[in-house]
Amino acid sequence: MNLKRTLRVETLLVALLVSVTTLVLMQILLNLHLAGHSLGDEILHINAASTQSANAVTSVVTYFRGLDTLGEVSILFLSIFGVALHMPRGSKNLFSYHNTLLYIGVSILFPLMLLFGVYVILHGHLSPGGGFQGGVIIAGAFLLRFLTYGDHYELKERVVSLSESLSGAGFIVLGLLGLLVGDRIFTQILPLGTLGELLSGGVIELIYIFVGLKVSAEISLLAEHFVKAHNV
Amino acid sequence: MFDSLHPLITMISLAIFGVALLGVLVKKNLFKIFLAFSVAESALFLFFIGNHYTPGLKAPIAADGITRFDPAFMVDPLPQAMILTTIVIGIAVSALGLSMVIRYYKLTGHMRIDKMDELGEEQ
Amino acid sequence: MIDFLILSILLSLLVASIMIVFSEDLSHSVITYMGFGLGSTLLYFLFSAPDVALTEAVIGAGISSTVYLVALLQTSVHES
Repeated sequence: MNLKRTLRVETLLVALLVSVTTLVLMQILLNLHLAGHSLGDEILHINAASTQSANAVTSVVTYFRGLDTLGEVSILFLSIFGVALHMPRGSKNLFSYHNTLLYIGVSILFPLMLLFGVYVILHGHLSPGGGFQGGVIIAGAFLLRFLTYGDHYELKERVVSLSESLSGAGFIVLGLLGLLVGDRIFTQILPLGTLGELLSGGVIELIYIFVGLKVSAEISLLAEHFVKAHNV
Repeated sequence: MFDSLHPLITMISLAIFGVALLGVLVKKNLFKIFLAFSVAESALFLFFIGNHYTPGLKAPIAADGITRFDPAFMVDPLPQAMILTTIVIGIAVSALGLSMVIRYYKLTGHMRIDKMDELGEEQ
Repeated sequence: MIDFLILSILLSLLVASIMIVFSEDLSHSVITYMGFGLGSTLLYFLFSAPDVALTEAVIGAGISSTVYLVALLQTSVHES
């Protein structure tokens, strides 16, 4: 009886505390005026003059906040490194059944998905898309092959690690070149071109090609480590 | 009731965040905890993108008919660029956590946090 | 009209999050999480953020499903 009563009082106190905190937090969040443009205005105004890229989001990711993207790519690399340490790649595939329908469909879809991924990477400064999205599309194509071919298909480790490390090094070298030639890291070192053409935007397209290569190699490696089980 | 969408977006995304946080605190299954963390992350993204949207504004992309960048008819590109990279990072970090869960399950045969006694009994 | 659409998708996302957190079967949770990703893709598109919508669609369809379902295959489906 006594124990039950103390429990009820504690529960009431905790519920009261949580509701008061929620109300205060909600009041704070409702009074924030996030939609007021401040920095975004400036970026939209100087975007056409400084990058000639038709997609302002792309120019923010690669040009105005390039150092940020470098940090995020390195977080991606570190977490894939941790996954590879925790789940060593075995030889047995979890999906080792034979399905003719899947086989025919994947053999038609695989080159098309690779082509679409490359298209999304190359047109990152003209339309929605870019290195991150195109890289994940390419990794999805490799994932379909893992699901279909079973034990007979594996990534060539040398090619994957070479493309990943070369693209990461190229990304950093591009930033340092900007530091040498211009005034800050990831500045424009190439001619800008005109807005709306494929060869425009200067350094943006090169950065997104490097990011796309790196992301596709890492996410493909992640999919392979998850699909190919290793018995502990 | 409100003159714009922002208070409603804020309240509903805060409610989703609260439900996911309740799942993280109450549930005992490690897999469910990581799933609830992902849902909380998505609620944060919705809050961030939704509060920088004003009805009628277009995406910050120059396309047919739009050749000029003007904040009068385009939304803010900065939060979109931040959230775009954060989504990719989020799935990689979730995969890292799930790989630890798989490893733990293969070592012990369960994934409940109230049965963990690898560091000695609690009593 | 578009406000009504945004609000209905947001409320369905709230219901989906409750279903994800409080369902007993973990495979139900994972499949509902895929639906949650689809709804948030639509919502990002309505918020005129097509870049984020493309990222969420690709991640939710391609990688997230693999990671969660393979983790479920290698562990147990039942919560308990």
